[in-house]
Amino acid sequence: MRRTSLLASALALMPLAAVLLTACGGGDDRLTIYAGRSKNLVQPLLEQFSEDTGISIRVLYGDSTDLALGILEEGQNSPADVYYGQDVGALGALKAAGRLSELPSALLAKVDPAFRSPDGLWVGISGRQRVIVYNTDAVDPAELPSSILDYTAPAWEGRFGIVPRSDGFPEFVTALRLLKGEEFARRWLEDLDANDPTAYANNIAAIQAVANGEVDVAFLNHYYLFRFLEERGEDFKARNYYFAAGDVGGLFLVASASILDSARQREDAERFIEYLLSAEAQQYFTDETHEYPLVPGIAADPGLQPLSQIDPPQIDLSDLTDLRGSLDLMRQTGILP
Amino acid sequence: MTQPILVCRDLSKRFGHTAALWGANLELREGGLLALLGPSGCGKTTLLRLIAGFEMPDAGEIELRGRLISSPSHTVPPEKRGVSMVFQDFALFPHLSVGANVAFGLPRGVNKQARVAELLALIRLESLAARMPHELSGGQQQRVALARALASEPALVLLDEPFSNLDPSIRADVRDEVRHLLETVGITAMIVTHDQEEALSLAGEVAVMMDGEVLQVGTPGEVYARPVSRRVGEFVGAANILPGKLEGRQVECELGRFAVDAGFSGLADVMFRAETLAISAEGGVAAEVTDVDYYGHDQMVTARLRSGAEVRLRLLALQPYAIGQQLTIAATAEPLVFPRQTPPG
Amino acid sequence: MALALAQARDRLNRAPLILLALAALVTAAVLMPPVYLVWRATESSAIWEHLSDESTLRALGRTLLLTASVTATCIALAVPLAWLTGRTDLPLRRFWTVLLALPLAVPSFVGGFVMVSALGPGGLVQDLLAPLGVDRLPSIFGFWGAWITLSVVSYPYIFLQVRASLSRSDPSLEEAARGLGNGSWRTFWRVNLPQMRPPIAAGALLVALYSISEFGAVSMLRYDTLTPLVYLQYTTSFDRAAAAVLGLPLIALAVLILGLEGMTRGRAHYYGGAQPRPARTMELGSWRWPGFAFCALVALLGVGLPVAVILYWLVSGLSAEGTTSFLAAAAVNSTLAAALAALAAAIACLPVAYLSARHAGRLASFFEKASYAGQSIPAITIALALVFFAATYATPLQRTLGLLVFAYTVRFLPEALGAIRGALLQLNPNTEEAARSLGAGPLKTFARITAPQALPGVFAGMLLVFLTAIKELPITILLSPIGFDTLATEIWSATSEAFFTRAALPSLTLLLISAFAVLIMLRRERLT
Repeated sequence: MRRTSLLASALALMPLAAVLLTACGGGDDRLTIYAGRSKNLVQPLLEQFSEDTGISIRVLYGDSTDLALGILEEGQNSPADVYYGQDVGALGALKAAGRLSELPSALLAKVDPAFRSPDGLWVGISGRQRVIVYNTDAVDPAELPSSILDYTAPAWEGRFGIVPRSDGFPEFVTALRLLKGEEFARRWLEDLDANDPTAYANNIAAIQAVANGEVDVAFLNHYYLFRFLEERGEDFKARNYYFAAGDVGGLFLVASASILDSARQREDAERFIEYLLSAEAQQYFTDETHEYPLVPGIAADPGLQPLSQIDPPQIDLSDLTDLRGSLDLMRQTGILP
Repeated sequence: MTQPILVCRDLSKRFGHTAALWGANLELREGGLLALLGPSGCGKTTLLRLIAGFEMPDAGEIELRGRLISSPSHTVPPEKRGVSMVFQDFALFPHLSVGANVAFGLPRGVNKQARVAELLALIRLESLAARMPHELSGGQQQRVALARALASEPALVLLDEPFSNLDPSIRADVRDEVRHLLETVGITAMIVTHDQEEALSLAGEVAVMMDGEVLQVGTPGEVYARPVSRRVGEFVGAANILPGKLEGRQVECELGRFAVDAGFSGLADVMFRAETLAISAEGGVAAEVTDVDYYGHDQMVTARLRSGAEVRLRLLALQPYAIGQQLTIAATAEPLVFPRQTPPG
Repeated sequence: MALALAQARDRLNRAPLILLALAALVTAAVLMPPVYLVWRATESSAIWEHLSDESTLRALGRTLLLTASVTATCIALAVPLAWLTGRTDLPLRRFWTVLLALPLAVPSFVGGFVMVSALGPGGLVQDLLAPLGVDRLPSIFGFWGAWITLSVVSYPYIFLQVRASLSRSDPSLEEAARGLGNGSWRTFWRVNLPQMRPPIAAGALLVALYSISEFGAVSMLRYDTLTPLVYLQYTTSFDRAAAAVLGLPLIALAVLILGLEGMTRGRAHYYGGAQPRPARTMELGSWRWPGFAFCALVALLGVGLPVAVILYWLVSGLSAEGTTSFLAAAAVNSTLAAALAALAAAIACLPVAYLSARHAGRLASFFEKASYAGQSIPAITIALALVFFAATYATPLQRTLGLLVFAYTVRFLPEALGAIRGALLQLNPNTEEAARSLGAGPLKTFARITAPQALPGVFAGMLLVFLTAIKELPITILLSPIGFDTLATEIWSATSEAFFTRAALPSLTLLLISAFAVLIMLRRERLT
């Protein structure tokens, strides 16, 4: 015996199948950019590129790590030509999977060797520095320790905020291990953990917490503050504090661009990276995102510590791309769950 | 003798390990009203659902007007059978008005409005066409369900326990009305019921079903007066069974010796209908009243015989009886005899 | 009784093949993420080390505690709210219904953010209380914050289902109970509540599964359940195998929760009554204002706070330029994708729901339970699974609207399934057979008898899918056509870089569209 709904269901499923099959987006010959950077920050720049060069682009905005994971799952069928992100761990994962292709040396040569991959797989586009963000009511900047290593002192118990999951902290731990040795890093993390730091889900939450006085200081990237100052005005109760020259805390990280091994629009992809390294684009980073330009000859935002004055710890950024050892160490010392 | 409109042949149907039908046979004559009577769980609803096309038989076949409509390998879907069903809960479409309910089965091309009006007039609900089903009383819902089933002039209407959801006080009236309606329309109908009184009073023909089989088909009088087995006899009316012995054309039991017409001899179950026993002034056997159920028009008196066997007497309610009262009982009609069975269970 | 059970069992044998095939197809699609998860997990060389790690076990304990508390709280909130707005003379019933459904449409990363902004240190509430000398509130972080936040955003799962079932329940049972001398409260406990059990269980199931797979809010509130651990493996180690291993306990938990729900179902009843009538309105009397206050309090937490914070973003922000240009496109995209997802989920779950409601049996039960996979696995895993399957086996589908809708359907199918199954169970199957015997074929019967009667449930299910799909983030980012901006991605993109003012308009638009969807559903409810 036939029950009622089957035929109807079968018929009803057909539009679904039709939607699935007809909404076809494949075979696009536009330059495809996976941008792990906020659309609000970089969209005007990317549109300008398209306008200037006549190269039509399509951009997928998302989290740097999510997009890298997507590329890994998509394999050789990834529509992405360019990966433009701000997460060195993601670069490490893409590199380990053999998904990055070598960039032309002319492009690589535009930035200091410190800001690019030694094997030519990625090139830094703009830079950010690790700083202490402090609450202007609770803290006198003159009293802030100038080295990150001193924030495990008892005076900072319960006053210190970190974002252990992303955006620089694991990279910092790697730098710590490289410069001071595994044992030192372990002890420092243990001391930090004993000092009851507050772990935030992301930089925005951390900086907000500093301004609200939930913690007095937090260890973050420098440029988030400027977004808040633009958004909330000069009354915003947080400011940046830069570490002393050469301190491991003042790690300098880059947002970078790379071309995938599966890229179909290689030529356009190279032109895109070239554009990001142009004076015009570099000036944009200075003016709009408050990041450091990496191409010599472009001045940084006067509100920042001048690039010439920063003396970041001498770390090869490509050494930071394998974060696994650092994450294990953070887990063992209780910094990560 | 008209040709049977419906023939059910050796129908069997299992649900898992339970057999619901076990070689059931049934015929239905054009224009007749047949009551399918049986205790609950005897398979009568399953038989109805097989005829309606909601189930497929495991064995056997069903023919309607000479056309095979159901067999294990071939089935005509319910909507193509011309068999409509009135459900126990009426199953009116709650989202459609009375008029739309009645019009539901009408084929295209029929003047629906006229036909609905005609049917509603037939059931005397012409003013309620716009009502929603939940705004009707139970009896009105029943009539709408029937009108809906009759609308497209099906070959056969099946009614599944149609009166069991109705208030007892209106049941008899609704029953008469339904019979009258079915007769007026002249449609062939089959009613499933477990209520003997309902079956006997309503139908031209009664089919008694037990344990998945149709045991007897006949007029109400035949089924009541000449049941084919002790169980059928017990089911269709109040009966007293006494052990007895059959010798030639005479049977002997505690109530005496009676002449009977039986094709066997030896140990027998002797059955007296409750209304064939009476209080006797002269002759009879002694008994003591153990229970009285008073119904107003009559009463059922239970009395214990000397052997300890209890018998029930349906007596007019002219005289009250008390528990413990001594009586003398005699049979006023010949009993029925059946070969002795070991009691089931 | 034995016969009735046997009949029920026999139904599966006669469940039409095409129905079984369709249900199997839907189940296969829905099982893609868990299959992917298990397959990825087997790539790990340290499965047991990950699973038996102390941090994993601690996270599992937290997950259990949070899931149990949130589910219980949601039931306690949702049932009285549904009753108050559905069956009583509460003032402004429809207004409250719309408002009380909305928390479901608040993206969880916004919900978490709002809780912190409102109840966290230095937040709105503390500011309000500061004049009273309160300078520190109990910490919002950890269990309490996660518990409150998840309860407030997910109780509508139960609220909407119970609300829909109240509109089709049979008042005669209730009247019978009243007639038997039970007072209103006793009637509620003894008759109404048991009648509401199926929708409560269906909603609670969604809440529990949502709680185990939720990421945005728990991470904002720093309560590390298993799902944040899975994310951590993905986003810091890029260890997809380890992430998958940590996802395995989630599957086990989901199976456990489904088993528990199955036990509460008991001997599922059939439909409520022969001729459902509109339910009677209960007079609240002196309970009127306490009931009003209760609705107001929950609405304040669930909608009032987010709106307050969003408005604060809007008025306090200085960089509001450049928002409106892409807002319209994002609103259209969001609405389109969520509406298609609602439609697709309703259609796809029909064979599964129908099989489960009408041909109950082991296979039907397997299909039904398996369909809950999407709700119990972290969204990022579902997204990556479908990215993988599309890139490997269906490249033309990559980055298409179709694939996005498909992914939403996989994720949100359970939400439609519970509601539609419930509606089918409450529908009198005799009405379908009556239609057949009156000459209507299967199609006509479905279109004119089954579908109209099941419609309130179908709409409730579609509404749930719509409200949750419109806020979905990880799946949207990883699967949408490139350049297909939605309100959720706009909000995320803005808040992730502290462009709060720019986040305000898309957030308000999202809530307005959602409110509109709830209104449409309420209108349908009144019509049917």
